[in-house]
Amino acid sequence: MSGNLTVFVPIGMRPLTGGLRTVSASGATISQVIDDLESRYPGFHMSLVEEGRLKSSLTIAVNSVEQPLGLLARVPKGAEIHIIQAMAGGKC
Amino acid sequence: MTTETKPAFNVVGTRPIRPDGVDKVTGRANYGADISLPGMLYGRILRSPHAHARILSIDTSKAEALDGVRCVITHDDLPGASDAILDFGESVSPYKWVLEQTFASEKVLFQGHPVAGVCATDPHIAEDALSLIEVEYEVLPPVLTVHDAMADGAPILHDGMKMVEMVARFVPGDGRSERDSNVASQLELEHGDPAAGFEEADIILEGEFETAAAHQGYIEPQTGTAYWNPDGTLTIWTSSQGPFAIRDTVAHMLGIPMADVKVVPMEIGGGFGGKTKPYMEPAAAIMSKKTGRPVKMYMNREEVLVGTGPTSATYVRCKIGAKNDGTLVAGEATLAYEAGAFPGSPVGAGASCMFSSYDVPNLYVNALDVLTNKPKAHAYRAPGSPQATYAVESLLDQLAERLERDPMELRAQNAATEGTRRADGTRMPAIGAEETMQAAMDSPHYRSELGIDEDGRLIGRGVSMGFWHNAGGESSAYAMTNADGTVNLSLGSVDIGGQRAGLAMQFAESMGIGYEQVRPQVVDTDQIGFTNVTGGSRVSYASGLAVHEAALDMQQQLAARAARIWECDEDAVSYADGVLKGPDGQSMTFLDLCGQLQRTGGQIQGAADVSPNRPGPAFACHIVDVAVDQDTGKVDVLRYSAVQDVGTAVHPSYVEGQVQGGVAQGAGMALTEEYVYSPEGRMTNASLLDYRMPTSLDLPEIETILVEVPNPSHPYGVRGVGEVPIVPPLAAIANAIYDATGIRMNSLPASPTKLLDRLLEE
Repeated sequence: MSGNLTVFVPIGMRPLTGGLRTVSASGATISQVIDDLESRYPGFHMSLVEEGRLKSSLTIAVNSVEQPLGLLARVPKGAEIHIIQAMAGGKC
Repeated sequence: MTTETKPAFNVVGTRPIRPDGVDKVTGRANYGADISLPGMLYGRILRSPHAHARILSIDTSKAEALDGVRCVITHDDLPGASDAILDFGESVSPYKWVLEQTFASEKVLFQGHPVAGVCATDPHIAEDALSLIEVEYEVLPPVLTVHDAMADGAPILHDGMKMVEMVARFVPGDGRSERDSNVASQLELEHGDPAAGFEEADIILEGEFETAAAHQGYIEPQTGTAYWNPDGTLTIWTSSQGPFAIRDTVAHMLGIPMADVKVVPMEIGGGFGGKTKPYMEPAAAIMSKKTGRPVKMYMNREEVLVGTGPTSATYVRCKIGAKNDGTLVAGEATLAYEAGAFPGSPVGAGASCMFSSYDVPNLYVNALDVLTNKPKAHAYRAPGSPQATYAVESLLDQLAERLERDPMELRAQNAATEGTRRADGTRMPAIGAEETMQAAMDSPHYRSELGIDEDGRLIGRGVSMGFWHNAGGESSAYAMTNADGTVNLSLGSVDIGGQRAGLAMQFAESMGIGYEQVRPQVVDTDQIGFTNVTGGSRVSYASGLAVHEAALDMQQQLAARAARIWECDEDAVSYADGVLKGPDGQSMTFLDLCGQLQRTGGQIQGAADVSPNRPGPAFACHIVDVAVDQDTGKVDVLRYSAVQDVGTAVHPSYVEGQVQGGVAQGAGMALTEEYVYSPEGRMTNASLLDYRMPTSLDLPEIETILVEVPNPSHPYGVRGVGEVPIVPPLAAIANAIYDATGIRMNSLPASPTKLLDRLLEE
């Protein structure tokens, strides 16, 4: 299990972290990182995962490299994780 | 001109003749409209004359009764909507919006919105039949600007459309705002502490900037020819940047397996992002299914302008904060981009690109995707970046003046470097921003005196940086040896800017053979693995990696064959520079071995499917001198230099061509190109006579300086080059106009009328 990961929280998700811009996390994959965050900041999983996959409007970057594997992407020790949002496209 | 030292390659960096050149200059190349099939019918589209109206009824009976008409189709002939998201490479769109763009159902949302299609034995009969279709409309008030669209009480384009707010989207709930809105979605980017950054600033500069919608201006209009075979398979011939995007979209729309749809890419007469989604193909396929005959469709120029997606008209409010020594400490911006009639402007890319040339420790960007009654905006060369960059670079120009600093030195002081954080918080990889700025400062142009215009016009000089992140993504390549040592190289990337030559060069380099030994061809979707669009400046990088990997695959197989001949372990065989060497001093060239492949198991195929994700961002710095006629407001570009980090110029002539083309298009956006609308929302300049693109007579020779800072994630250091050169011209030209006149043009294009008004005000 990796540790000492730094997750950069997008501005829209900061209500979940009490306004924190970055939070620490652990996990060897993005899926495990999200589970770890969910345990301390409920709402992360619902915000990022839909039908078992990373939401199509999101991309995860590990050490500033976008990860096409999404939830399955491996996370090296000490990595920075960014949640990158695309435009949502509107709903009706 | 190419700078200094670089790794010695045998093929990469040379300037061979392109394999498609002779056919193209002699008129033998086949473009989309050149296709002709036995028994072919012709389809035409009836388009809405109104920008915003409810469809009360459509009566097609008279058109259907016209002699020669084979079928008439409307939205009722399309399959039902689903929640699927379709990927066009440079953009994505919910499937239901794609259906609505193909044919309107309840409302028309822009002038030119397709309402019905006619298929007939002759294009003129089809055209006549359009006038027999009776459509009853309830005309609604149009929304034509982002300001109107966001005003209280604005007419709503999509009943029930709710803005997707980021805060709402990231907490439990369905992510919808309270009320109906023309703002389809909002994106906020932040890093650092912007409030603290501005608190720290000695100087804060702020401004509002607007740009007009501009079309990609490809010379070849959209086409699409389809034949629904009796066995249920579908073949489409089209001039598209993304044959696989067309295949997948049409298969989804028509509910047939992807494997049953074959898309044949014809030569393409320009695209610039505008040909990455289907316009004619779905309708042609439905007509073919209904008639059992091949159906050909093509647009005329007016249809191209009113019926396809230009780039967004934009509004940007921007603020920068700096210390007295010129150090940038904060940036903030609100972007509102017109999406047109359906969600999906490039505002997100604008938000992420606008500050990226610089190291700004505290940033906040608020991006809004705004619906208006205009054609759905679509990708156009570095989508979204030129408009937002125009705002930042204009303010930097003001900052330099305020601090009495050289504008390039001020920029270089704040240049982004490896590790600099972007607006989304991610760090830059190895980049060449500093090198690009330095090359601009060292250029003959920048070091020259501006001089005096002999005609007495006001003259000035402007500069601007530009950034584009470039893309990777899926590419496939397939190479086959021949007994005479030549290789057939099959590619999935459509050739717009010399891709056949550039990819054949990379393959030849990897194989250690001559460029002339490689015969590249662009093949249909049945003959190659999935390959993403020719767009995003991705092909030389991603498809380049595909041909490199295919070469390595081929080398491995060649080594095995040599080992069989030499009766040694294949791991003991090496391959380098087109020569195989064995463990006991044996040696054989690629050519020699190809001659022996038949008797050692047959010819060899090397193949690769890749999806790389480290494309290497691109930076450009432009310098422009202009002359402004005080009596007419006309701006002439006197001299233009484009400096760009291109990673490695695979074929320098084609790279220079890409740079020059991007400058010409950016100059058009800066000076002349704009969609002009009547109050009713009708485009009043829908011809190339009135929609004024620059020609070779309007621009001087564009000087190019290629800086080569290799992308470490590509074996030859390749970065994408095609898009970033369109980013700086807007700001560079606006800054030059200011230098000449003292007038800050905060609204582009700086057309003679607009500039003359400002000159008279002054």
